[in-house]
Amino acid sequence: MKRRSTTRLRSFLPVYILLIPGMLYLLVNNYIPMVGIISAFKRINVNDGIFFSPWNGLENFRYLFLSGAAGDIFRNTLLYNTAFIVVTTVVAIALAVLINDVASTKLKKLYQSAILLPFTLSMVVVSYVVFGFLSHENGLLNNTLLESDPIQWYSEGQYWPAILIIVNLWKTVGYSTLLFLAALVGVDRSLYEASSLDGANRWQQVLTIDLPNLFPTIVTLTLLAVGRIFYSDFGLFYQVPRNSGAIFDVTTTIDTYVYRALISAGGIGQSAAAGFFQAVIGFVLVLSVNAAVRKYQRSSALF
Amino acid sequence: MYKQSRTYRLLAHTALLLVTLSMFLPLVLVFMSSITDESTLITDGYSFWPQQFSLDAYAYIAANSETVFRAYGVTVIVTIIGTVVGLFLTSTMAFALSLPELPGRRVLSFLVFFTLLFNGGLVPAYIMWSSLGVRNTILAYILPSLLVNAFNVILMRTYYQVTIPAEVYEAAKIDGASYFRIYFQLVLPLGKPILVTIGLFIALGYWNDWTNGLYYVSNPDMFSIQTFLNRMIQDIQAISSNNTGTSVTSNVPAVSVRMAISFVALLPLLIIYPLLQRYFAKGIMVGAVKG
Amino acid sequence: MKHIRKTLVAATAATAIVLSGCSAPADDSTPYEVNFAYLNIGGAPTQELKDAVNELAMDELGMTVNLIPISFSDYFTKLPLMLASGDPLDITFVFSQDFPTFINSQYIVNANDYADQTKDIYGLFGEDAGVGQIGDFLVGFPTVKELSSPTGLVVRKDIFDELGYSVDDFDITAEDTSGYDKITELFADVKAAHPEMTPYDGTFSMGMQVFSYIDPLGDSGYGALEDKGQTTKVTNWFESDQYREFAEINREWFTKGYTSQDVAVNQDEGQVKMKAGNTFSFMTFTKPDSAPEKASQTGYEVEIIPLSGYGPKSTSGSTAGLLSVANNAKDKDKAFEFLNWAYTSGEFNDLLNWGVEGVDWVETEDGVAGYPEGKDPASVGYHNGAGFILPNQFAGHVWSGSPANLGDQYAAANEEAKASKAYGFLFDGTSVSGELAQLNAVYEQYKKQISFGVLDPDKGLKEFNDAMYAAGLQTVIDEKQRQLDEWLDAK
Repeated sequence: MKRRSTTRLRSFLPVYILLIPGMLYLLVNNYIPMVGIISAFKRINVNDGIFFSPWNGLENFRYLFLSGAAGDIFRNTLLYNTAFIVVTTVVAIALAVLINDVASTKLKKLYQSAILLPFTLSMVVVSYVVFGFLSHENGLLNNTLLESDPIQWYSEGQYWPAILIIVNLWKTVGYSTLLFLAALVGVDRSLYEASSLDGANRWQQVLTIDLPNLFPTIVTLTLLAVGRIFYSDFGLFYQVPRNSGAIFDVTTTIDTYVYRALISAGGIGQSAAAGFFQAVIGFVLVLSVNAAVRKYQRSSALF
Repeated sequence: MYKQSRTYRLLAHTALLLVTLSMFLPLVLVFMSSITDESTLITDGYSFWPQQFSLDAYAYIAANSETVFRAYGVTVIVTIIGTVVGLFLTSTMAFALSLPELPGRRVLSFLVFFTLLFNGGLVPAYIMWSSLGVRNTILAYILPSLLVNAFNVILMRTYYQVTIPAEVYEAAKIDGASYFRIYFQLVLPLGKPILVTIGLFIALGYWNDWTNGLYYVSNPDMFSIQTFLNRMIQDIQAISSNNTGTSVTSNVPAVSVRMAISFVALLPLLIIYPLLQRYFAKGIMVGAVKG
Repeated sequence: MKHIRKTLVAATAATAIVLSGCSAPADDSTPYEVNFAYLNIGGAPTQELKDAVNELAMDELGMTVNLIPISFSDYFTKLPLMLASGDPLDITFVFSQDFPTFINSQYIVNANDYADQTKDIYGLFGEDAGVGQIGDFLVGFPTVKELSSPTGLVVRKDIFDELGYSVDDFDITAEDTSGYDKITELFADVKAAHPEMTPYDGTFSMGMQVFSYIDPLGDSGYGALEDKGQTTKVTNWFESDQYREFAEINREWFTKGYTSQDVAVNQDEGQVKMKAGNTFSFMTFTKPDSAPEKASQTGYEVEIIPLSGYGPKSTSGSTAGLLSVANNAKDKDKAFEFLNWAYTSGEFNDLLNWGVEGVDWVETEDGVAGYPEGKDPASVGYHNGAGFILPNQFAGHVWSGSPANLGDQYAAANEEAKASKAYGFLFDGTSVSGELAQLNAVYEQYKKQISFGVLDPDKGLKEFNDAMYAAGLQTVIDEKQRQLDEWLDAK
């Protein structure tokens, strides 16, 4: 028995060796600096450094919960991220299926290049583009479609959930689409032929062939997103609304709140506290969802 | 290709064309703004066909062409090295973790995933990398945070698990192949699409990163394109939101210059990207043969 | 045996000699290098500049200088990083909102302990040298600049003259806001004569000009001393009649279309807007040389209508930016020595401000500094112009366009400003840092909307103040009052 397991381990030796460089990097880049987490519970001063500065319990977390804004920021962060996950996944699947079916390689290349383009723009530039559309005086929307009845976009909170979801979709859908595309590309073409001979239409094929093949990737992406459900894209929520106070209650998230509150330098403990809080929530959520996934399809679980 | 109904094809292409248009349109706006006369920009805002054209923004860049070219050079070198090395490290880990019988697999996967959530913050990372001597070197762009990212590892691992059937491994093992050979001669080629995809993401990460440059590089000769651009934009925002009771002579570069530099930073990507698509197509061939 | 022992003794002796040599104090042949962080809004320092600065410092002090340019945005990101990680740094500037954090995190050194090395600074400022005192910690030293910040409306001279106005037509003070009617009239005329122009734009309006009307006691006015600091009672200025009047005046301008409709999300400063050609006026803090400064920034000649009279001499205004020695400094005595010298050396200030003489600037016959023959803002190697954060900008040259005796004019203006009753008092906000963080967030949300009249003051002011109180405004006010009373008693 023992001999079998040592031979097994030995046969896996190359695998462990292959694993080492990457693990080493994670150790150095992620795990060593992780000690910084304790700053969330300390009153840091430079002379005592991270290790010897005095503890101050949960003091650094106070500012996150005290104000009336706490409800807004948690609600917004959670709801937006959930919407993002759902909307982006659905649209990305649709796009991946459509692109995969395109016969002409040239057109395929065009579509594949196009969808990733917004991903490459920085959020600052995106905010200018959005401003180009929504500016009250010069914006494209107000000057063309709505000339008779212009809307003060940056003052009306009701439009912003939709605006932000659309902008986020536009910017990030390429990422998921390409991943789904990569998965679909590995699917045996003859399956489609066989099923269409059986009389299935494209929609049925999506349900029976594409989706099951995409399932592991969908699950992975979703789990990863769930882990980060309390993190928001700072650029999206701060730059795109141009820091307009009138719509704060629908555009503020944990990250923008922390930034605005701590606009003065320093306060390492307080920003560390925010980060820690976001991490813990995401962690708990992922553990639960992952456990559920394990029950359903073991191999798709994250761990 | 099997027969698809014509309505489907029509709808599909319409949808895709619309999507493509919406992706390109804002880019066109950026380009147009970069060739718009500055005062027109501020007065009339951004438009697809400006009242007055001006190449001033690009003239400004050309005057600083030395800086811009050097910044490009830095960014290109960093992206190439970072992507190659990062891709290798990512795929080795993904491969290892994709093997269902690997002892300790669950623990290792957890350790990798954990790094996505919990972060010690900027200061410890900064202290550590600085003490390792990366400041003002090319390593400052490559090493901190961007080289390997658990996100990519996990995505790649899923791909390997799904796309590489167990029979392939069994056949190889019967042939007496070690896992080294399996990795280099089987997994890598079979996984070309994911290599290209993740490689693309890593490359984009490097190309667009401006924080590493901000924190670790103070020598202007070593600035990357994004560091350069973002410094300018951040300064402008900081000046207008900072109320110290004095008025500061702001040496603010024109809005059109900002747009021009954004466009200039994008250009190489626009050119290289379609070329990369060739590898995607190759992956399709491999996948088709596999059946 | 003997052989071995001899070797051991010899080795020990040799080691001792070598070690003692190593631990000898840094011999005088390696000059001390001062890491000097300064605000940089122009280009990076050229090699010539660095050489010139080193030469000067070697000549006069026997030290070398490592110039560390810090832009505004670097100040918020990079500087805290440098301070927190022990990077080599001797001298830096600190903005007032960070004093408590920097002190508590022990980023900076208490200047009280180095009074001997800084005698010249005390000579220069007299009592005011100690204005940066919190408790018994002296944060650092103020720079030579305008100490009061009155507010003015910058208008384009050409259109102003064209419509037949003159600055004397206007009589507005902080106490009497009826004079604003004339401005409303002016805007109406501008709009009628030039419908394509925006009469009023920019990033500041009266309600945000806290340094002109109150003593904000260290932040944006969460609990302040109204009436230009001539009271000792801490109140909520945002509930005052004055603030309400400002909001209402702006509301009128906004609803009548005199103010840009995008003003709440505008991030371009007034001078940028004016430069683009479609803005008639904007508000700003003024100083004796504002007119030529704005003219050069916008390309238009301007007139300035004073709106507030002098601003009070408040601690916040004076300590907006202080020069401190960082804890990272290896030799603090030498660092303070250098700082002391920096206040007296006109050459050093000129170098940092305008660059290398003869290369980046020359002295003109008016005794001021100007661009050398054939050079202009685009082609010159280095030109910073952040004089207000230099130790002593007037020890050096003034830039052309301003009179050579500008320093005297500043001094005169400073004399005129009346000191707030809390002048010298620095509020320590650590115990209410949570509330301050939230108040910042609320203020960010409402400041532009109310000050520019985007929100209806009747509803908006109530909403704003309710939110402020919910964020803990009363706690902060009480704490400020408590500390102020303590400080007043101790005087």
